[in-house]
Amino acid sequence: MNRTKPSVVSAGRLRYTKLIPITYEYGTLLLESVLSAMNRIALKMLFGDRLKFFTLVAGLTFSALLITQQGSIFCGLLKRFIVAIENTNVPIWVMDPENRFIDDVKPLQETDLYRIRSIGGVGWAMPYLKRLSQVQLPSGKSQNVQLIGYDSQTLIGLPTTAIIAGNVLDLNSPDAVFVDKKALTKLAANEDTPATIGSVFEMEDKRARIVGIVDVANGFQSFPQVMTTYDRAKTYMPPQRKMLSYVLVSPQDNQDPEELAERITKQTGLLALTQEQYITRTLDYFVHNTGIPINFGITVMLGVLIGAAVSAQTFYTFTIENLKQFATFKAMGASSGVLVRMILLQALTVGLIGYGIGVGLASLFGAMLLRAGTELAYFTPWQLPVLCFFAVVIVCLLSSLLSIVKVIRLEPAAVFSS
Amino acid sequence: MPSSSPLLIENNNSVTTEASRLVGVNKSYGKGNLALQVLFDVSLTVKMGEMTFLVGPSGCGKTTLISIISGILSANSGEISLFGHRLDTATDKQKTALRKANLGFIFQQYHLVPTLTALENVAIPLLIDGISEAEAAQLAQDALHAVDLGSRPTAYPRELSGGQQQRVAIARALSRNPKLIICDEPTAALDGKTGQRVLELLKAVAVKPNSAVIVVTHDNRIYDYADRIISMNDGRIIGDERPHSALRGSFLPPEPPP
Repeated sequence: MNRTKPSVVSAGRLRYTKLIPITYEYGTLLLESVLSAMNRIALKMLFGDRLKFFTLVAGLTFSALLITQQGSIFCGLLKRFIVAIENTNVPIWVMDPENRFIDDVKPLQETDLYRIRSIGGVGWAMPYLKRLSQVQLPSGKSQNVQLIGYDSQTLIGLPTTAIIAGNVLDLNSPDAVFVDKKALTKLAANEDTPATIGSVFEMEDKRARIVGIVDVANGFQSFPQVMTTYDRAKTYMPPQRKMLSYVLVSPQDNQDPEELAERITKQTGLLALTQEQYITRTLDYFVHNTGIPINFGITVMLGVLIGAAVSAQTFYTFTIENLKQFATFKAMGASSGVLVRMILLQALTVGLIGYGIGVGLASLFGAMLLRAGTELAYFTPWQLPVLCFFAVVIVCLLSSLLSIVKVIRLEPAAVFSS
Repeated sequence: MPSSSPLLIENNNSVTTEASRLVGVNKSYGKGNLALQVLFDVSLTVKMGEMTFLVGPSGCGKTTLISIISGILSANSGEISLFGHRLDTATDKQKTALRKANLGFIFQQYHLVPTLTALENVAIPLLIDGISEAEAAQLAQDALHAVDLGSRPTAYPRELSGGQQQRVAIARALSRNPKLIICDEPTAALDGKTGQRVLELLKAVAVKPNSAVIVVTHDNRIYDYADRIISMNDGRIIGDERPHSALRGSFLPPEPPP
């Protein structure tokens, strides 16, 4: 790229052109094509005051980090609350009408299963057992587990795609159970030897043998998951009149699931919900009854406020220190609009940089946690960075508001010494 | 001078020899009982081709006067013209266009942007004017040459002495080839020798038959460079004389510290 005339804004960097000619030329051209010269002047003013620049970026990074990190932990907890529903992945759940969330099991009668199967539009209906049970470990300790029983013939609801060891057919063998990956250490015979395929333990005084391992997320209570057939699961429970936790239903072809769910509810007096409806009901309970969202909300709000306060204060100081320069620009004929655009560009630039670093750090934090295999719930849905982006933009705009007002009201006469 | 302002085009065609004319200008700050009048019935004509000094004690209204002349402050009453254009009836937009087209400023504290190079600082008025970046760079470089700083385009203000910074400020004021340069205490932050050199330079490059310079100053060491000295006291013009004879006249107020 042969340019005969130097660029004004890049003149201070001419000496570096021999070292990085390609980057320099294309970088300059890119900037020139995107921003006006005055806007690039604004960026140079911003980057030139390194202390304030880094303070601004640090404040906004802190905000973005806190919003994304705490938001991801919150979403991780939300996900754990509904993970059993997602893992099972069936169109319709039928339950006791008083059921409020997935772990709030109020058992049904076995006859309810047959009543549901007789309703028009039902493709299939399968039993599903979900209860807490207790494992007696060889070490003498006991461990609570989440016992899940699937229909013995079809195993509908078993997350077969997540099987990482063993064969689904092995569940037909005596005492056979699958366990989730994280259960292997909790069901270990001793601390040095984690459980594996073939390991045996006792559950409610009955023998269970691990024949398969499933890599699925844990539920909110983080208990190890023991999965087996519905009939065998019942043997691991104290005898009760009602053993069935849920009935899993699929509609016939061309049958709308919501419509079928309404019909089942109407005809049986039970509560039938589509998977989405049940997720919503479970999350509603979580949001309104646990107080966890308020705790996280306060933390996130604190992050936003601190970020906003730090950046507003720093940005205002930055503007005040440049007030003479802005007044000079005004005296030279720059309109308030030009100066406002310069300030907004400065604010949004530090905002974008802070956002990028903050979200990056939050992602790194999550990746490190996942790699370390910790129990901390961490899930970042795509909506969270988007929300965080808008939050940071709003913080930036609010931060720059004071400065903008100051510059708009600035009298160019302020440039004169007295 | 490239500009889209119709005022400028009109101005280029004008043959006026007056840079600025003020007739019966009054200015007060505040309202009601708190109002403080700082200019009383000031009438003044600044002619092209002259370096006019505005002198007087602190608080006598010099700064208010140059603010009104340059159109960045409005008077309460009176008639103000800049190159034949009435400022007292002009809108803010028209005043801004007039300033952009015709004025250059030099300040006591230079007001250079510390994070920009000398070239960038000089180019700012050109960029505000909408001149292309390449052309602005060339014009800014020419202006730096004019003040003997052609070899320091990439220097930052912190790398320059006070005198050099003021020369950059002069180059900035000259870069648009303005018809009127307004200097506010241009030598107050400089030692005597540097101040004199700056004034020499200013007189050499800025005072031309079709341009004028107004210097507000307390510094009697530079009075020799004035073509005309206007003295003010308590918001009134109390003297208007030509140099040398005027310098030794009794109308000049005692020199306060800068």
